[in-house]
Formats: sequence, C-alpha cells, structure tokens
Amino acid sequence: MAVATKSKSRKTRAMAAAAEGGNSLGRDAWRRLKANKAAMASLVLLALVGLMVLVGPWLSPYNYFSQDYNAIWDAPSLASGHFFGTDQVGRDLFVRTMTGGRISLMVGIVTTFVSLIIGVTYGALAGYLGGRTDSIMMRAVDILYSLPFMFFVILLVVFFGRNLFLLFAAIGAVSWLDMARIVRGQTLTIKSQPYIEAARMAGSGTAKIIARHIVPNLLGIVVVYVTLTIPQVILFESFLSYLGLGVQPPATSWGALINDGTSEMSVAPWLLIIPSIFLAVTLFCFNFIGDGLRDALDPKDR
Amino acid sequence: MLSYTIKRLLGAIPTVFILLTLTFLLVHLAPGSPLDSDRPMPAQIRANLEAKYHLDEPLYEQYGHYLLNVAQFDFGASFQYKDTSVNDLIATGFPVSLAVGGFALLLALVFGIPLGMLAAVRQNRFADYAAMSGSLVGISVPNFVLGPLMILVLAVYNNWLPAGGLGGWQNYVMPVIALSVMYMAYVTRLMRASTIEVLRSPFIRTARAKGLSEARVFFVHVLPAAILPVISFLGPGAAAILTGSVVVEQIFGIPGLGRFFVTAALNRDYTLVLGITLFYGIIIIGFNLVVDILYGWLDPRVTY
Repeated sequence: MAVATKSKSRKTRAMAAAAEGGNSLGRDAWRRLKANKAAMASLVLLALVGLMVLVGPWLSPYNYFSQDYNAIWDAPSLASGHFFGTDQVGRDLFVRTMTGGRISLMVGIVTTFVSLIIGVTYGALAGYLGGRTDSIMMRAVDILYSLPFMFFVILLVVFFGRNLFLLFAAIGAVSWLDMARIVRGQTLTIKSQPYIEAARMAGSGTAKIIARHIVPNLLGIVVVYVTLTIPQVILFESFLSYLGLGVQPPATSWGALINDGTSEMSVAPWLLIIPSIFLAVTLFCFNFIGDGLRDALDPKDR
Repeated sequence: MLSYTIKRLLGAIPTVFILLTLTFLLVHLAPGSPLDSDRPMPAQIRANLEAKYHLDEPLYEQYGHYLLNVAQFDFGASFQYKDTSVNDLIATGFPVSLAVGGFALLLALVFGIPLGMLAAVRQNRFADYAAMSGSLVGISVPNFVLGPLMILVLAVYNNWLPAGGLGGWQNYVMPVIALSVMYMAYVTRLMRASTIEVLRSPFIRTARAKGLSEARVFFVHVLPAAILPVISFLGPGAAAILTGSVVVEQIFGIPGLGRFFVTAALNRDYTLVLGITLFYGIIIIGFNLVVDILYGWLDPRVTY
C-alpha cells in the first residue's frame, strides 16, 4: 500500500513538472502537431464526421431500413427531409450514410484495437527476449506477411459465413503484422537503455519490465501506427462490403453503400457520390493526422 | 550471390508449405461438405462420390493427395462451371489480369518515381506540398470510389471511354488508372523519403565536392541509392495490385481472374476460390523472392 502511494505521488509530481513547462516528448509533439494546420484541420473535420455519424440518425424522421415506394430516387432536398436523397427502394440515404458510417468507423476502431493488442504484445516480447526466440517469432511474421491475406479473409468469409464478428477477427488477425514489426524494432532500442538495466537489477521480472517500462515508452510510435491502421482497416472493410462479402443487408457500411450507388449511378448519382465523399474524407483525415503525428513525434524529416 | 539465391529459394519453401496447409485446413474445418446440396443424395451415390474425391479417407491421406495434386499444378474441377477445370479458368483469366495489373504497376512507377524525387528536391516548397497532398488524396481515394466516379464522368456523362468490358486499348484506360493511383501515391511518398535521406548522406557531399555536375550527381549517385526502397516495395505492391484488381475487374466488367474469384466466392465455388488463392499466393511468394534477390544484387551494402 505504501509503495502504491509513493509511486502515485511521484507520478503526480512528474505531471506537475510537465504542467509547469517541462519539455516532455508528449508536450513537444502536441505543440508541433498544433502548428501543423493540415493535421489540425483534419482533426476537426474528423470530429465533425464522428459527431454526424453518432447523432445524425436522430436528426432525421426516417430510419435506415424502411422502404418507401412513393419516394424512389428522390434527389437530395431539405424540404422533403431526405437531405441526401433516397435509393432505389426509397430508403433515406442520409440515415443510411450515418448508420453505415457507424459500422465503418466501429470496424476500424475495434479491429485496430485487436491488432494493437496482438501486435504490441508480440513485438515487445520478440524484441525484449531477443536471440533465437526473436528470430523465430519474426520469421513467422515474415512468412505470414508474404501470404495473400486479402484472399484468405475472403476464403474465411465464404466458408464460415458472413458475420460482423468474423470480419473483426479476420481483419484484426491480418493487420497486426506491421504493428508487431514496428514495435519490435522500437523495443530493441529501448531494451538497451540504462533504465531497463536498472529495473532488471532491482529484480523486476520479464513481464513486469515489458508492461511497466517498455510498453509505455512505445506509446509514441504506437499512436502513429494506430492512426495509420484505422484507415487501412476501414478501407479493408469497405473493400469486402463493396464485393458483397462484408456487412450484410439491411445493415450497411460505406463500402456497401458505394456498391449500391455504383449500380444506380446513371439515374441517381448522389447514391454513389455522397458515401464516397464520406469514406474518402474520413480516410484522408486519418492519413493526414497520422502523418502529422509522425512528423510531430519524429521531427528529423521536416 | 549464387548461394544467397539458393538460400532464398529454400527459404520460400516453408512459406509455400504454410500457404498450402492453411488453405487445406480452411477447407476441411469449414462446416458442411462440398457434396451437400438441396436434394438429399442416395447413400450409395454419396459414398461413391466421396470415394472419388477421397473424402472417405483419413485427413492426413487427403492432405497427401492435396499436396500431390497441387505440386502437379492440378487445382481440380470447378463446381460452378461444370466441365471446366480450375486450371483452364486460370489460363483464360490470368493473362487479362496480368495486363491490367502490369500496366498499373508500370504507370505507378513511371509517375511516382519522378514525382517523389521532385518533391524531395523541392522539400518544403510548393512542389513538395502539392505532391504530398496529392499523394495523400491518392491514398485516401480507394479504387472502388475512383473507378465508378470515372465511369460516371467519362463514360455515362461524356461517352469518351467505354464503361466496361474488353475490346480495344480504350477499355484499359480507366481500369489501369483506377488500379494505379493508390500505388502511384505510395511510390511517390517512398521515393520522396528515401531521396531526402540520400541527399543528406556524405557520399553525395563528396560527389558534389568533386565538382560533378548537378545532373550527374542526381542520376548517377542519388537515383540508384534512393530507388532501393521502391524496389523492396514491389513485392507487397504487386500483391496489393493483384488484390486490387479483384475489385477493379468487378467494377469494369473485365473477365479476369479477379472477377472469377468474386463470382466463385459469392457462389461458394470451393475449388475455384481455393485454386485462385493458391495460384495468387504462389505468384506473390515468387515475386517477393525475385524482388529480394534483385535487391541483394542492386544494393552493394547487402552481404550474403
């Protein structure tokens, strides 16, 4: 108990020091990120998209699955309440884009979280243990890396049925490889720092050193790759949904909406254009923020 | 060099092996049997069919048969297209996919490399910002957004290019562009980063100090060193282009292997899906191998 209080007070003191204007890496990076106008604009835009997707469906009198045969291919208009128009069976595109966005973003975030957990654990273990374990573990990653994973995911979906949970698992199982490689590389540098040696000398075990001393110091690079993995996963899900292998109707996602829109584009181009804009803007914002974060945390290139 | 090549060749064997085993397990762990159909089958016929496809044997014997068949490049018969072997379908579809993918990769390199170098030379100036913003847009606009939008503007509204199918060279323009843009953007970014790094290295300073012309420094000293990351990107890049062609062929109605793959996946044509996965897997592993060997040959710092 006493130890816990002591370490807590130490942390509070460190935080106070940072608040007084200490130049911690995080503060420095945040200052540089704030100076990056493109990244800040992306952050605001992304927050806006997130907000729209969350509250949007409540702002409309319609829902995402009801069909209305009196309102087929209605063009976007404020008067009718179909802000983004309607599709070939009269469903409201505004609500469909928002609920689809919920699924796309949720898949992106949840799956990235899965890949984050696997990738960080795997990479940190390989890097910290080193030697033979490391080379076997990384060789396994190399082998998995050269498999055509997109095809495997499609196989999985074909053989085991199309459900959202499988989609999370399959994409998550694919996207941790990059994270593992990056984390391992970073762990190799951290491992040789004196404070790791000190921790070992103080009697900390492997698990404790990894959890308490290595993982927190990986945070910077992990944050960058999380922001870059989310758009990749969203893209991946949209790709599958576009092919009709992802989210199944009546549920929808941006990829599925773009697929619907493609077949209707000559009569109702908004069905293609509006979901496309949402998807592209979201991907663009994530990529810009990721780039900005990388520059902010590792300023040597700019 | 030779020993390195042999070592890499041997190193690819476990990868192919894992590819085969994973696909085999996937098929056999999947619920249901390929013989299941809507109408129940008489037990005797079912038993005969099972014997024909070796389904009545223990799993390890089936695995043996499977390895043996694939080793002879025999992927079996398609469930959906009766009387056609998967090999025939691959033979008809792959050349088309290869043409689209090959041109897309070429386009990505031809535009991406100079653009990346330009951005690096003009670092933090207008050309750099333009190229970098452009490439971020390129990375953020997926081919299944770009493709339909191009069809809408160039084929539906203006009738400048055919919307789909395969005829003359015009049919290739949109699919190749749609497939290529994302990789062009990647190549631009890679090339910019590596050129910036190379421009800072001491051997470039030495080259300049010797009094070489700027053009000579650039094309003889910078370019060969800066292009290496792009070479190593070719392996994953080719894999991504093959994957991307699945969707692009679907959009433009091109009768390539990717389109077969999607129809097969939607119709649960097990053998065809498997055959194409294996075929692409082997191609990608092979391509990675070639790129690795090429890299070792091009980069004098790699020792064997």
